[in-house]
Amino acid sequence: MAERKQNICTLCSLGCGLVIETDAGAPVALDYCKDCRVNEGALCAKGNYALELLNHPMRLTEPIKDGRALGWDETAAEIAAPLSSPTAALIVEGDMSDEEAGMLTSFASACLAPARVAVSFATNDDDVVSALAEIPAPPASIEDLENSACTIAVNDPFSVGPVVARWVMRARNAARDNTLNVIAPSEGLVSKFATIKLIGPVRAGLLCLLKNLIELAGDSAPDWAKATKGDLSRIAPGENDTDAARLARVFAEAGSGVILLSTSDPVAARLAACCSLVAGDTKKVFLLNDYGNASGICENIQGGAGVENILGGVADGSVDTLVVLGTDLVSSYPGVGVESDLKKLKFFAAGAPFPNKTTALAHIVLPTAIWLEKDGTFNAAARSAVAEPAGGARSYGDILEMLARAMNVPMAPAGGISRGALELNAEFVANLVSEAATPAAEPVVASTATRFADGSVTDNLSWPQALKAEA
Amino acid sequence: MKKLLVDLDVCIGCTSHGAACNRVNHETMTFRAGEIESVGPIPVVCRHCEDPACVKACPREAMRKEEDGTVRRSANLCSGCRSCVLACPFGVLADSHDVARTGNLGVSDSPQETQLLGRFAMSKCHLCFDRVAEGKVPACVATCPTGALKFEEVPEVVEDTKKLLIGAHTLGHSPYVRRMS
Repeated sequence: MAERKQNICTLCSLGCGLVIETDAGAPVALDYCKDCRVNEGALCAKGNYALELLNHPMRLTEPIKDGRALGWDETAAEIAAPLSSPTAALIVEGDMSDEEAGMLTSFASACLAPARVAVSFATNDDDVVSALAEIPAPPASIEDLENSACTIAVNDPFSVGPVVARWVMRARNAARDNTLNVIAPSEGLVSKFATIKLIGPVRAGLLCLLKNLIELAGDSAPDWAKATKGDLSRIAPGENDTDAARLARVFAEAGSGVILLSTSDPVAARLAACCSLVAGDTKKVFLLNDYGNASGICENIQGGAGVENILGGVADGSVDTLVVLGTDLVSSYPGVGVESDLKKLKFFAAGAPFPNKTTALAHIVLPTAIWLEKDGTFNAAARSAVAEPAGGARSYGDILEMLARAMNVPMAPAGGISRGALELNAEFVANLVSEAATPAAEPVVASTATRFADGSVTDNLSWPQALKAEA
Repeated sequence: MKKLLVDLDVCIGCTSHGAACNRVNHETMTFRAGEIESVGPIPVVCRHCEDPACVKACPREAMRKEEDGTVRRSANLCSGCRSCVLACPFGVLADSHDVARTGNLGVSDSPQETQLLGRFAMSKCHLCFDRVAEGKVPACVATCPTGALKFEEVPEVVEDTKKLLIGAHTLGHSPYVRRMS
């Protein structure tokens, strides 16, 4: 029987609504969801291919070892033994639901040392989310974006989530005095429409903006801002200063304003949050990043090592058994010799929805489900799966449960973790300012409109391939 | 007749429309990338001319002006001779070689067959006549992130909103591209 099932896209953090039409449980069509407040039916190139992700002929459908298909029980038993070793580690991709993140925390405490578990965010979204959670800048909603008299885009959010432009452009064109401005390292989709452009290093641009906002605020600036004024005047670079002063004046005087942040640099995120705090109560921050549920995952993950630490362990031999769920390590962490290090592992199991460079190196390959095939909380709302996982694919949560069972370890339910915001003080901001004076590292994976976070999924779809052929 | 309009004030040039067209119609080259100097990027799409040059130029009658006003291509009749590409005054129609590379025109379920047919057919916008018949808008309009693409009656738009039209001189004789004054 035909059914229409509503869900959201998690290929960026905007969370656009979409409808999958199913026939006898099988997904057959994608339709636009006009009722969704976030996108009013619109979808970018990534969202348009949600259905193709479900039905793609290249999807992995069963566990494979040495070219031979395995049952899941047999697979879990094969992985459980080596995973019990003290030199084992687990990496899971950051496209989980909140529940799966809680299960991972629980699995880590029951089955592995916390330093042996990591969640992979190739674009550092976890660091940016944590950085923003530290500073009590008010988060902006879609309504705030739509009604913003002055929007400052940091980097090029239109290329990460083009649908956000729907609200930004609507706000810009709503009144003659409304402005869209940009702080970015180079020209991009946003800068074509920007009134004031600070093109250059993003940290430097934000420092200039912060310096000018504090000067404009005068005595009404918060204490931590006044205390940092001297440091800022010494550090903030002089180029772009006229434009930064203009931008600060426009932003401070606007009735409402939003800093639309799309960055992999946590220092830039903290600076943006400080700017919004100095500019007044009506100024907010909207974070648009690559991973759809980074905030939910960060709230439900406790402890854990960074992926870099585990990869370091693989390189120096202290980790000789590795299980990876969802992440294409070779594509996501290029240039650090991951491929040759992975070949040295005694045991390596890799799960993914599609075959990739990492699964090619694995001793056991696991088929994993994509978000549309999972029940769970994404973007702070409960979602139901629109279809059964392709073939014998399993969600990360199911796989972790199977592994815990095979290891004979009970998994306790994990609760959410509350993290309080910092009380901003002069010392914290002074450290931030001096940190911001150094150039930011380049993002690991550059985002484009047709690329999934780690680049391994949408490259298999027909539109990216058509674009490649055209190029 | 309803036609596609591009509101240049909000078009960010994201190419999502192309992905939607590719998904729904399996066509890849119905939109060409265009750019108006000092204005910005625009998608260039078939204008479904009142007196279409491509229909006149087609030696196999593969291009037809339908009763609903759309200009459509018959994939079975088209031989990919490029006469319509040369005839189109707006440079909208795709070269058959571009289509052949992508090899998917959606005219058959068999990949081999579509690849074969793809070599001999032009890619052509048909204004999603099947979606329009169901009361929907074309896929490119439905998906457009900023709402820059609209599917509207052109004369009414001109009269009601008194927009400054720039299509007459820069993009052709029909006012399908407008800029808010």
